[in-house]
Amino acid sequence: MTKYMLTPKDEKEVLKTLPYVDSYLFGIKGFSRNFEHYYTLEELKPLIVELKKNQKEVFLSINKNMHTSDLEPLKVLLKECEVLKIDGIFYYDISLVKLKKDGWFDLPLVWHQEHMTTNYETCNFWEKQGVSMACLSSEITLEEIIEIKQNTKMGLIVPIFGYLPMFVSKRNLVKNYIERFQLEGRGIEYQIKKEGYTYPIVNDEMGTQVYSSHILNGMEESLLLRDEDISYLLFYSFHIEPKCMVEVLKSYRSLTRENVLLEEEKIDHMLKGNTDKGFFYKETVFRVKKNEK
Amino acid sequence: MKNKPELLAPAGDLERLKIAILYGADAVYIGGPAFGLRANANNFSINEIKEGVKFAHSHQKKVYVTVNIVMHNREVKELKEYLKALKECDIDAIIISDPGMISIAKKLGLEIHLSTQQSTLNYEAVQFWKDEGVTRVVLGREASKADIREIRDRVDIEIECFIHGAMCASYSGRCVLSNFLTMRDANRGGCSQICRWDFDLYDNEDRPLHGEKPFTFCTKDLSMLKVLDQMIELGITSFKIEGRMRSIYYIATIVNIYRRAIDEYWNEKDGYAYNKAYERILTNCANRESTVQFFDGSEGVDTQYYNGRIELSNQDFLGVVLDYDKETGYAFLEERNFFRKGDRVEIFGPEKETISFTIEEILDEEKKPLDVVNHPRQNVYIKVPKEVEKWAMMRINHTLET
Repeated sequence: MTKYMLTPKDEKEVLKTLPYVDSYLFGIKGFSRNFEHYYTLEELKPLIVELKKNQKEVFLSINKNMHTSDLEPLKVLLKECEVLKIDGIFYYDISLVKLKKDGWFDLPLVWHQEHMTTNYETCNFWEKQGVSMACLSSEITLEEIIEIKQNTKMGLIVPIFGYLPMFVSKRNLVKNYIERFQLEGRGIEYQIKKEGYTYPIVNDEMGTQVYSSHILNGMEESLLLRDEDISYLLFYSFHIEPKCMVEVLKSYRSLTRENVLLEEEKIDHMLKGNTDKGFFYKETVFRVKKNEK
Repeated sequence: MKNKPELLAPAGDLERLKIAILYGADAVYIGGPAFGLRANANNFSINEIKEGVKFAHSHQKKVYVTVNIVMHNREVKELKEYLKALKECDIDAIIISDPGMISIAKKLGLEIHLSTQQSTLNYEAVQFWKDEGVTRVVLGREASKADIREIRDRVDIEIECFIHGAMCASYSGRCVLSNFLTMRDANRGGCSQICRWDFDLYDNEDRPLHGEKPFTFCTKDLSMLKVLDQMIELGITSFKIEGRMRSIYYIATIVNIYRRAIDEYWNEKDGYAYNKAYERILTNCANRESTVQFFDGSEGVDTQYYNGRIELSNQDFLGVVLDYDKETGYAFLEERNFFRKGDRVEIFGPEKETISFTIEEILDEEKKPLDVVNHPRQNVYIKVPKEVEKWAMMRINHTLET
């Protein structure tokens, strides 16, 4: 049965969404990218206890690119995660796979090199390395997702709702701009605009992240993915108003073949029409000029 | 004893491959007809790869082929046949970013290098790839001197680092701006370089932040010439120049300068001195400002580029030598940029010393005198003071500038 996973904005959102969510995915301060809020493990401990009491799963995303100087703190963190009986660790950097293979920690790993999780062969490569699940790229089609499902034994996680991460940098792109032109800094969240579209951009202590202009809303597609026995559907709450997030989850939970169109319309309306279907039906191109060879 | 680092140059086609090798590259990397991250470059056909490999091997140089896209299911099905074809070309290695390719490549006996697209920055990850049969790791461009040293000390594997060229604004592989804004897949060779676009920046309450120039992701280029001695001392296996879509002049100039600088340091470490003239040639050729980026651990406002694409001269390259007549002292050239009698120029080549002179005599193909050469790819004769070689290049002489 397909489970629902949420990257919550904060603890309040966790409590409000409990009835509709099976698993929570948290970002860890200094080790994660693309979260609205980052926790220390100390801060998370009581929340993890509470969630476990409610039979909820807890995943952590340790998805920053690791420099050599990050390895020792990473090892300490992973040991602590083991004690807390975390249900799984999302990774980007391959050092985590190596540390698990070396027996440094024993927790399920989720391959989440966010834009590289695009085919079944590579899923199978990571499965042979002891990785349990893959969180698939948001830039592949529904058809490709289903083909991956049919050709791998790995559990699959599919992003289904939210602003989608599309850029991660170590550089302080906004801070540098503000400094260069002696402007007044206004926090860490900004927007960039181009040709009528607005993209959220965050410049925090880890660098810069940019998100899609539209909110992915794959309500109708979620029914198909449930039928295909996809392990988890992932909801990103970044930049979504808390009251809307609860409504979204409630609505997804209530979906049937009969009400899906109505529910989708309702959610799109609530989100002021700023929704789309991401790449579910759009195949990206890469050769714009015919190669004659 | 450290090995002398390999100088690895890009080559977008057969002509550039030959130029790179003649001008001093120890190895070249090229894109084949598929699976490369420059899908819209000319790239090599299988027959051209064979010819390029034959040329390189006859000069005791190596050829690596980029197979560095992130595969979708469709490519998985086509991979085996493609790798088989590459194997038959006798190439020296493939450069991959998607580990889904490793098993097939190993079965075919292909040597595997791991692309910078994996942004590898630590020794645990490098050791993982070594255990999987990868023989060389191209480190992420964010690697600092300390990262490189630690990796070098802890894992016995070939390490490749970029020394010159354009930079991604993001961690390589972690940017899909191109996919979202233009539907072109960045990780399959379609990157439309959104990082060089201008944007309007606003705060979270929709209030504009307007600098003198628009907001952009754009970064300055990388140039490691200033720290080349430190790079050599780190024991890096291979120094990579970026730019498979660059011109023959760019390839010849950059390769030539780094070849000289590496040899000068290697042959006489105690007497080595940083050559300012080399820096000036690189700057004029690349047409963009450059820094050492993340090598010294710093990243800041000075690594950003807010001036758009055009800066400084890009008209230096005047012509390519096609032939030389020892009896008459005339070089036969193909024009690439406007020049005239009286211009101060220099000719540099793969082997011979650079010569500087003022153009005193120009003849057209019928040997009639000319004052100006201003037709694209016009063939002319020029009187030169010393013997020059085929594939030598003529450029504006900047040596008298301050």
